Amino acid sequence: MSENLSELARVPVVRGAFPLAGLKTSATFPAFFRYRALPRERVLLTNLEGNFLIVSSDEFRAFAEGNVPPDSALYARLRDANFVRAHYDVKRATEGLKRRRSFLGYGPNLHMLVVTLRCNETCIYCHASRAPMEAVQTDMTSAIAEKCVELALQSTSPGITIEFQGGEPLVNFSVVKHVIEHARKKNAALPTPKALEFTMVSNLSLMDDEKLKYLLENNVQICTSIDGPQGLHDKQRKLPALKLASGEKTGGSAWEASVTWIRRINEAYAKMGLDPTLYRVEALLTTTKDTLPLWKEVVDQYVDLGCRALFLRPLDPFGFVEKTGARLEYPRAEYLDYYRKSVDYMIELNKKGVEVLERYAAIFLTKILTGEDPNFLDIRSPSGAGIGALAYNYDGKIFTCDEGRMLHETGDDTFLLGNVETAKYREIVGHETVRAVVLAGNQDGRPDCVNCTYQPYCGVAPSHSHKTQGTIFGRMRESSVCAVHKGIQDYLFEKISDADPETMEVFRRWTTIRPREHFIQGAADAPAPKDA
Amino acid sequence: MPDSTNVVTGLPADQFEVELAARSVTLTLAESIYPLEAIYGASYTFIDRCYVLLDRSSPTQIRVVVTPKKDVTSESELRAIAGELVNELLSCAWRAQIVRENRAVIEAVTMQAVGGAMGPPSLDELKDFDFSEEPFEDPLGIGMSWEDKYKKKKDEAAPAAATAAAPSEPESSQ
Amino acid sequence: MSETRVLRLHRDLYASAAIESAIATYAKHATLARTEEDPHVVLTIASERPGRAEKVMRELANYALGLTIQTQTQAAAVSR
Repeated sequence: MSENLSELARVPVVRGAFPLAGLKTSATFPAFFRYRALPRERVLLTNLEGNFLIVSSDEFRAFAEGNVPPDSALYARLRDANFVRAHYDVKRATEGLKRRRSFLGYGPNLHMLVVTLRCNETCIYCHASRAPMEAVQTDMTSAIAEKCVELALQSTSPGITIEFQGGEPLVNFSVVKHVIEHARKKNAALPTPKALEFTMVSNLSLMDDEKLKYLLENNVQICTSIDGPQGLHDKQRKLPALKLASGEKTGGSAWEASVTWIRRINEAYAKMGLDPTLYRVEALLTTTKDTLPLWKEVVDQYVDLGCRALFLRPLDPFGFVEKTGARLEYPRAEYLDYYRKSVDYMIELNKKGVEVLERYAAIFLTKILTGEDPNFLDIRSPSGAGIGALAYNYDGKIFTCDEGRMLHETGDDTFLLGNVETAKYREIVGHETVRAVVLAGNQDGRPDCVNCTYQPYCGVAPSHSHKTQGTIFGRMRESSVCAVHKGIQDYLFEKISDADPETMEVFRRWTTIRPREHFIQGAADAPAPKDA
Repeated sequence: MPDSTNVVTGLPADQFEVELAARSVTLTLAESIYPLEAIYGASYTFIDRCYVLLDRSSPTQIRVVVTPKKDVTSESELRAIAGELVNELLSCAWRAQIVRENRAVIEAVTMQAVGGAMGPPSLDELKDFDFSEEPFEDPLGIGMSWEDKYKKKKDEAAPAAATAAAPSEPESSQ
Repeated sequence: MSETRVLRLHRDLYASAAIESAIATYAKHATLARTEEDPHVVLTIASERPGRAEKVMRELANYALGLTIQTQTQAAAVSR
């Protein structure tokens, strides 16, 4: 080796980089590919349609240089995964791409209704721009709620989910009920009724037997927040002592309130005869600096509650975090260390028969291992803003996404599309802002992403780039979302390349999407077509 | 060369001119590396928080003067603004190239995304469409209906036949 | 005492319509005089209020740049 090359060989290689010194690439052997070095002398290859292969460093050199004997096992692997130019199957690649982008054929399926900004909890990272309990002017009216429903039902998606958010949606429960009843009625009158689902994101502290009865009888999915063990949760989510207009008193431990109702709701599902492995209250957490050293306690808390899934979400830059960020934020390298430890632990629990999955991992693994897209709107290309989801504020204003709505509450109307009072559906989803966001959220046009090995599986929401970098396109090297997504996929592919059979079985279970049919209503009840 | 008192650590003096008193940073960019569309794109992302002035320093170079709107109290803040601007310039220049190369797939995906979301227009929406305007020039009559096209030809043939039959009458001009 | 600032906008880089629109928008905030010194449009901005001329100069330049970029973007979209 020449002196220059031996110098280069001593240069430490950046994560993902492969030492290319001396590589004489073939222009004719490989089909299109992207690559990323993995630990222990392995290289990950991905192609346009999202097939992947893990090869050794030597095998990678042979592939890149076109020195793979046609009768070798490596050649067969490369050919079968569509990496050999001479055998490139265009039809197969097209079908693969179409499957990954199947969500493009239809419009918004997620419709987030912020039925009030009022909230009885104060969370240090709140991104919802919550309002105090006296701010009744931030309650959505029934009239506006009806218009939101009617707009949502015009979506070209064959199924829609109406998600109640806030503030705390239980504060405006009468409108929640009205939306459910109005949506059902209007949906039933459609020539082709949609598959309708309702979800509520609630802190559960204002739940009571009557509300729960209604939600259970009306098949509303319930989602809440659990930040971890009680000390951590109550430190971050305060439930002040309040006397509400109804005379009801709140206060005490936010954790106790949530946990009590999680257990009650899970018991209720079991009593209804629903499969307890499928029907549980969904819980999410927001990872702050205080969460990082408590990774094991967080997982144990979720397992103790019977939760089947954890979503190890990092902090986002919206709302209160602008002021509290100095206390709460952390380098994403520390987050990824916490993530790896948490998921390693979850895998070990799974091997012992405890079924719990991590949501990010499940999303990425579904894309990687099955070739399907689970349609998680913030991790797809183009992103779901405006075409996969719409957010409706309490006053009827419509946004491309909930983050866009949060920005509006702080004076930034970049993602505002219109108002339900005057808007027409096609004008909303065809709005120039939606078009801009679709362009900005398309990885085929984004620097860095266009060359990234994880491009077939990834996505970054333009609203995050806008907030943190002032541009909806974003600069991925500076993006904390990119750092998280890349780090998670690095971790998953290291595990995949280790190929431990038990771990792979756990991963395969995590990719299984079992529809929760109990919550789907509308289309099955639809009257038969008139000409049947 | 700029005055040495106007040097900010981390901003190479041969590429950045700094006026600390005015809190401004000037970059001189070669259009061969940063096309004008990239300079526009990067500048636009700064005009909410900076004053940005463009000028030509030569036929092939553009000068960008950036002055933060809010009081910048430290050199490191000025350096951060300058650094962010050059990163955005690189991003815009590269994105322009990528979009040119990947235009077909980007357009296809965008059309499918927005078209899929919008769905077909309703009859009420079609009622509001303006179909009267000619969409394009059609010198070969490709967009013309069969009837219009051949009626036109027939009308042209009829006067010619009439002219051939008539004695010594000049052809009418078209 | 009147303060004066001079702004030079290069015609290659700032669209004429954008410059005229910016002048029209900011004329009410300061006294503007317009001349041409090829290849620049030269604006002299004067105001009795301290700091006003400087502020109008900067804001006007930003406004003209923003409008120019919008116009160029729309023109590019139409041409395709």
